[in-house]
Order: sequence, then structure tokens, then C-alpha cells
Amino acid sequence: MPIPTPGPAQVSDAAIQTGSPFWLRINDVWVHLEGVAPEVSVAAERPGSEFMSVDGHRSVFVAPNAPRSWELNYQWATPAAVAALRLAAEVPGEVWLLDSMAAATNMLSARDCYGHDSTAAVLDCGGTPLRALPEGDVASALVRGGVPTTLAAWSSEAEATVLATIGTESLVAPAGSGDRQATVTFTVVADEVLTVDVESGVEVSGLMLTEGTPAPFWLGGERTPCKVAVGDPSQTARRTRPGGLALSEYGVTLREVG
Amino acid sequence: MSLPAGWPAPADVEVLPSVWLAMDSEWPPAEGDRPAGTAPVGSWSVERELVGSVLPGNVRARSGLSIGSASASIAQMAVSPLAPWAADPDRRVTTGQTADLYATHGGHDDVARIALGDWQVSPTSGSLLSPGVQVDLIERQYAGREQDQALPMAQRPIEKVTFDPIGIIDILARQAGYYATPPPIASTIASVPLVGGDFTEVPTPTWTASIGDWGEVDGVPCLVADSEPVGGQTIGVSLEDVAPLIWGTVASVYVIANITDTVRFRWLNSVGNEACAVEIRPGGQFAVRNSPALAWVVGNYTPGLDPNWPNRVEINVERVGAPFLALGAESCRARVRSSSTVPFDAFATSNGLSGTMAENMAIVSDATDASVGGVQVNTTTDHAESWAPPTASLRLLGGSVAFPWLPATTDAWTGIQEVCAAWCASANVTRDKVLQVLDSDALAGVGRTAVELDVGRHVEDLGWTLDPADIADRLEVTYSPPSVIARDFADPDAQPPVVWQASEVIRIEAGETREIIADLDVYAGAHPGSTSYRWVRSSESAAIRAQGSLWDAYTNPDGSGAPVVSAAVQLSTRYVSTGRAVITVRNALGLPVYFVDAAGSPCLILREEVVVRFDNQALVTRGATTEVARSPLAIDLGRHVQTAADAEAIADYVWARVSTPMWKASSVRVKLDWTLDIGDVRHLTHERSGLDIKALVTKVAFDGGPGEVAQSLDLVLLPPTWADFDAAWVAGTWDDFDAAWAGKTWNDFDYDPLSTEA
Repeated sequence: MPIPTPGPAQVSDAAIQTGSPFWLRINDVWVHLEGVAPEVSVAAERPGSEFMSVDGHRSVFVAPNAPRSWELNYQWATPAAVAALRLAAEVPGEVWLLDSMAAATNMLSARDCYGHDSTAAVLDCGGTPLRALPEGDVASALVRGGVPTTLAAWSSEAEATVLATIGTESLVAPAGSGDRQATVTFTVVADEVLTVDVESGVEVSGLMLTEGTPAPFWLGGERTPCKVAVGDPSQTARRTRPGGLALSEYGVTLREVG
Repeated sequence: MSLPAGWPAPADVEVLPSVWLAMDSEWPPAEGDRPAGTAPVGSWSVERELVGSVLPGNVRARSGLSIGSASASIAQMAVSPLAPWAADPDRRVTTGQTADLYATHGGHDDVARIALGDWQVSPTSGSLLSPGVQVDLIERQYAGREQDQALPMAQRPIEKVTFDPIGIIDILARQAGYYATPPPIASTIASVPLVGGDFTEVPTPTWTASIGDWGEVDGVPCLVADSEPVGGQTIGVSLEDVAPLIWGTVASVYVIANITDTVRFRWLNSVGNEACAVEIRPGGQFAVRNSPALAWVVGNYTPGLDPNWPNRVEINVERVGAPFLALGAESCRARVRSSSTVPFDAFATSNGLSGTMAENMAIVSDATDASVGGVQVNTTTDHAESWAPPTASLRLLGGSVAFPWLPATTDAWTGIQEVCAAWCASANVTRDKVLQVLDSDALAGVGRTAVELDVGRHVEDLGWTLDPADIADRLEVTYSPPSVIARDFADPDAQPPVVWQASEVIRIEAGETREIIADLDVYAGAHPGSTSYRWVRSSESAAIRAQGSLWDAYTNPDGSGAPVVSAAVQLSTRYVSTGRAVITVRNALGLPVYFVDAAGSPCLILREEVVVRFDNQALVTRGATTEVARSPLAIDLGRHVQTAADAEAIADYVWARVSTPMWKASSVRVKLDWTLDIGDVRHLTHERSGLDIKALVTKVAFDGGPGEVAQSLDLVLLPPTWADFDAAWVAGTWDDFDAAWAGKTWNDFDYDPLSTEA
């Protein structure tokens, strides 16, 4: 089976038409970033260090998080997108970035989708072996209002066992045996940060929170939407004729924060 | 120190934990489920050092003090910054509060955490342009030292058992909030820790233990059976005015103590007749009787239910009935449990007359394996504090101090460090906030399991230093043997010795009551049963003057005119510590009064029946004579060491460490190991360079940032001890030893004295 990458399968028609899966949430409203050039470079910076012993043994230490940066370029930016970016750069309030393609994959943080205790049970999450999660609040994400969203996870618990809750919804083990995917789909009225709370006494792992239908196999968390710091857009002005319409190219860097 | 449950095991590739700062403050404000005062840390550093008086680097600078320090930077808030002038209290930066610094893999509230010390916020700094606020931290115990009553134990009768030095440390540690046995609670009417000294914490001060030795049970110092019983008793402790076991309604007390073998708690009247008694016996048995004339009534309990205190028991004793009235309704009953979280087992009741009130308590034993410690007498029960795990890890230091003395200007922490320095021990607070005292043996690595540290794999480089300042060819150890000066009781006119006298003329205004602080340079003791000395006029007869302290007063500073009438002046004395007495003077006259004699000399003289002076100094030497010594080392043990035997033992210990050079390795960068703490002993091995020694970790420093934690150590070589030699030759004979060392030289032996190979 080929390993799928975050693909366009669940992307809305509007996003396909404009060629951009990116949305900014400014002043609690989602603004679509139209006209982003096709190549967006996403860089993750995981702080790390290494230790080299006197006899040449290397140990590597890494931070638990790797915040990302997006380089967005516009060749023909819409005035609305430029206005949104400038507003986000000038008023550094709470700005969220949604990558709707990544949201169709898994909105959670990668480390929150599975357990880290090396003694916990291993579950087959659609081909990927993952450690069971501890009980309690394990993951949270900003869920968009009015967008059907699905929580999925793998477990071998008996049918109808409540595996986890999110908001007012419960994730319940389906019929069958062995490690199998459970899903629950819901739609919240307004944007809301929801937390996944794993029930005590159950073995569950491979959390996926997706806009739309999740893949039948586990896909790593993309942590979207996420809070970002928006840099001041850079502008290259290209004036075609004096006194005429001024055209510009724009570039902006978004840095994940929090 | 072991890793907490759930903490990932060390690996070649490790994900580092997050580090958190939790301050007792409203800033930074709460965010999400994170409470106010708690913030993730960006860059941070921690440095904690162990100071021991004969460790390399400390030999000639015996400060005995080490102050841990740390710093942490937390993110500034973008919109409304954290600043000292912020209007919102949750953004207004404060300083001086207590703080925790800790690492977790699962957020600020994860219980699987590694504490990084016990801190108090010292300077906090920031700027309008900096992206973070820098919070500097110092070890909490060194911040805000209070001094006054460091050793509140003057007038201790001289016939009591001598202190182990750890007993002095225990008194000081409890003042600083570190408890080797549980602290008293609100209803405690007597608390006697018996941690190497017979100090009575509540009520204070009275003196308790007369029979017994100091020992350790389960690693906690306590009173153990005397090898030379007195009157058949191996343990004898008395507590006065602490036993409200009267009749009428039910009178109930709860006695909590750590006990081994058979120990008896007796309730006595004022002349020592027993009213009732409870005996704790081995194997979960106890017995009670309401009179010595009655037979013991036996009951049972389940011992060892508390994981922190396997030998601790709580005895509930109740007396019902009316004395002296032969109504047949009198009884004494008792029940026992071994944990605060389980109910008491059934009462055992002793019915029968007892004509005696109970005013005092005594704890006695005639068993050879008996021990008692951590005694509390409470009037209420169900207090988890009475079973709280220890926050001080103390060990006997093995000396004998008959007259514990500290000057009044010494605070608790300085006192602890001074005592440790004199006895070649060390004191530090562990990362988990436990006061840890390591004795000289522990600092030498005796009896401590050394965890292997493969230098080739876990150490970046090993730079070593040999310093001639740490070596001496002559050692001079001075100490102060006490001189006990007592009044001659055979002579009724013999005058008692002077504790303190006013050096200047003291003027008390009309109607004034003043407390005169007398800082003492001697130990004011007492004979058994003696009460505080009264004040008598210096012009009285010798026989009357022999009964107290002296004063004289006139209304003129030169002593002219008529003396002030005695009734106009009232004096009383209160000893607040070994180094300080407070004399309260009241002048009831309508004129100022001067404390002078007829000649105009100051006349306010505090005296006691027994005074111990420390003005003699004794000298113990090792090594070369003064004439030829080129690098002599002089150590003054002060008044902490009072016997020749102790001074000789300390001299031997110090000489063994300063007569040959010991190397030290400073700032050794090691692969991150959260289990390492100061005071640990590690067995360093490095096959390529032939390194194979034990070393003491004297400093641990962390320097952390995003994705990085650099850990470095200071290490001190521990020369092999006889214990190491015994361990190397366990099950070996002298023939084996001879065979192994045949044909070898002393040089070979010096190089590797633990070699067992031919």
C-alpha cells in the first residue's frame, strides 16, 4: 500500500478553484488566502543538541516540539488576501492558520496521537504500531464551526465500549474483534477548542481528528489549525505603465507559535 | 536518586522534557489549564554544590556554606507586558516568592517530574525590548535568615546523656522546617524527636533522656538501649507536665513513637508513683495496666502498616472513672495502630483501682534491642502530619557533645553548616527538598553503593587538577574542652560562678520595664532539680548571695546617696538560647535607677549553679614538627568538638585526606543523567586510561535551552577505605593476600591497594 501524503481528496471546491488550502482566522473570522503560489515551503525547526563522549560515542537530544514556518508567495494576490495578511502582521492578536489539506489528514499534534510510555500496550493502527494513550485529557484542537469533523482512533475493546470523549460526543468501539478503527462525526456550531479525553481502563491509540472522512489507516498529526505569527508581507511592486494599475508580488512568512 | 515512574529510560536519542517554573505569585497570568505563576521555561540553568571541610578546594577555605543558584527565562507577553509597573496584578512582576523548577514530559501538571531544587526568587529582570523575563533563583534556605533562638537549650542539667552532633543539627533543622521525624501538630502537648539529642521540642525547654545511647533504626537516629543499663533500665526518658490522664470524663491521649523491641510508657504522679502504663511488645502485642499492682492486660495490633515508618505506632490511652472512691468503675484502656490510615485495633482494658493521678510521663525499657524516637503526645488523632515522611535525612555523626553551644548571632543554617564543618560532614538540600547530612564516612564513600560511570562513553573529557593548597605536611587541630565550674555545695557561703555581668552602668527610667539582652560566652547549666536562679542584692550576706544572681541599684550613677529599696526593682531571667539570656528589669520607683554598687561600678551579675567555660584550647597534631613543616594546616574545631577522642578521630580523618594529594575534576561535561545529584558516589571507569576509582559528586550544573541540556559535574577522588579493602577481600584469607602481593612493593600497593590479583 502506498503511503499517502496529505492530499487533496477532502479539499473543498473553493479551495481547489483558488489553488490554496490556507485560511487565516483573524478576529475570530476565517479569511481565505486566495492566490497563493503553488510551491509553499514548510520548514520545521526542532531544536536539538548532541553530546560526544571522550571515546567518540554520540548521543542526540531533541526538543519535543518542532515549530513550523510557511513561506507563502503571491504572484497575483487578491486585495482581500493582502489586506488580511497586513492586518494579521500589524495586530499581533490571536491569529490561527488552517491548512485545509492537512486538516483532512489529522488536525492533532503528532505527539498527542499516541502514548509515550514504553511499557504501554502496542496497538495496530491500520498498519502502524502505536503505544496506547494514557487516560485523561490527551489532545486538543480548534474545531471549525459548521464543518463536519470526525474523531477516529484504534482499539480492541469490546463493542459499545466508550473509548474517549470530545466535547459532548463519545467515541465508541465498533463491532468486530482485534484492533479496529472507531469513528464519531460531529459538527460544532461555532469555532471551539475541543479536548480528547481518553476513558480510564481502555487501550486506545492512533487518534485522528479530521475535517471530513478520515483515512482508514493512521496518519500523523499535522497540528492544524495552529496559532501563527504573521510577518510583514514583502512587496515587489511591478508597475506596468505610469499612472496605470500597479501590480505587485507579495511574500509572507508565517511562524507557528504556542 | 531514581527516575520517577513513567520517565523514559536513557537512550542514544532522547526527547528532552519541558522545564517549568512554578512561582508562588499571580504573575504570569493563568492560561488554559495552567495556573497563575506557572510558566514554561525557555533557557535555564541550575548550579548546586556540596561543600565539605576536607574536600579538595575546601581544605583551606572552610566556609562550610554553599548557596545553590539557578535562573530561568519565561516568555514576555506580547500585548500587555509583564512589568513591575503593570496595573494588573497578574502582570505585575514581583520578587522574593518561593518557586519550584521542574522537568516533565507531560505538561506542567504531570506527576512524573524531576524536581530541580527548592528555590526563592531573587532578582527578576527584563526590558521593554527583550522577549523574555529573566528570573534568578537562590536556594530557599539561604534566603531570609532569622537568628535569635538557634539553640534554645541553656540550663540543661549536666547529668543528662550527651548529644551526638546530629542532635544539634536536628534542633536547627526543625527551626528551618526540615524534619527527620514528623513535626508537632496543633494538639501536641509533647514532642521529643530524640534524633541524637534529648531536645524537647514541645513543651520547650525541658530535658528528657537520662538513660540510653544514640543509634539508628531504619536510617533514622533515635535513642537505643544503653549497653550499660542503669538500675536494670536500658532506656529512660522523662516528660514532665504532659499527661492529662485524669479521671472524671474520659481523658484520652495519643502517643505516637517509633519503637523497636519492648518499650513501656508510664504515667506517673509528681513523686514518681505509677498511675497506669502501656507496654508495646514485639510481634504486634501490647499490654495495659491501671496500676502497678494489677496484671497486664494484653491486646494486639498489626505492626508495620506505614511504608514511611515501619516501626511507628500510635497508642490511644484513656482513663475512665474516679480515683480514691472505691466505686469499682475505674479503668484504663489502650488501643494501638501502626498507620494513620487504618482504624485502631480493639481496646485492651485494665479494670481496677488506681489511686494516683497522672501528671508526668516516662518512657522506659529493659530490653537490649529497644529503641525509641520521634515521640509525640497529642490530644487529638487522625493527623497525617504525625506520620509525614521525613524531610531531613540525618545520620549520627559519631561524636559526643556534652554542652551544645552556639552564639546568639548564629542563625539555623549557619549553625548547621558550622556543626557539619567541625565534624567533617556536609549538609545540603536535595533536589527533592530533603535536608541531607552526609557524615565523614559517607563523604569518604564508605558503605555507599557506587553506580558505574563509564568515562569513555558518558564523559566528554576528564580534566583533572592537583592543588598543593589541598596538601599539608603538618596538621594542627584545636578544640575546646569544656571546663565545668560548679558552686561548692559543701560550703553554704560559696558563691556560684558568673554567667554574664553588665560592663556598663544600666539606667532604667522611672516606671520603665526593660529587657536587657545578655549575650553569653559560656554555657549556663544547672544541677538536677534546680530552678532558675533568683536575683539577690549584692549587699546581702554571703549565704544569701550564694543563692542567686546579684544586683544593686542607686538613684545616682556614681552610687552615692541611699540605695534603692529592694521592693522597687524587679528582675527575672529567661534563657532564649545557649548564647543569649534576657533579663527583664522593672523600675517601680518614680526616679531613674542606676544598676551600680556603692562604688559606682556596674552591678548586674547573672550567675548559675553550673557554668561551663570554653576558654581552654587543646591541640592535636599530625605530621612534621613545626620547625620543619613547610605547608602546615591549622583547623579550629571550636566548641563543637569537646573531647580528646573526637578530636583525635577527626585529626586522623583529616590527615588521611590532606597528607597525600587528591585530584579534583571540575566542570566535567557528562551525558545527561537526571539521576545524578550532589553527594552521590560514582565508580569511574575508563579502560583505555586505566581509571578505576570512586569519586564523589560535589557539584552538579545544568545549562538548558530549547533542545539542549548540558550537564556538568565536579568530581572528587575518594581514596580507598578499609571498607573498600574488606569488600575487595571478602571471603579471602591472609594467605590469599600474601600470595597476591608476593614480590610486589609498597609502590604497587599505593597504586592499587584494592588489587586482589597476583
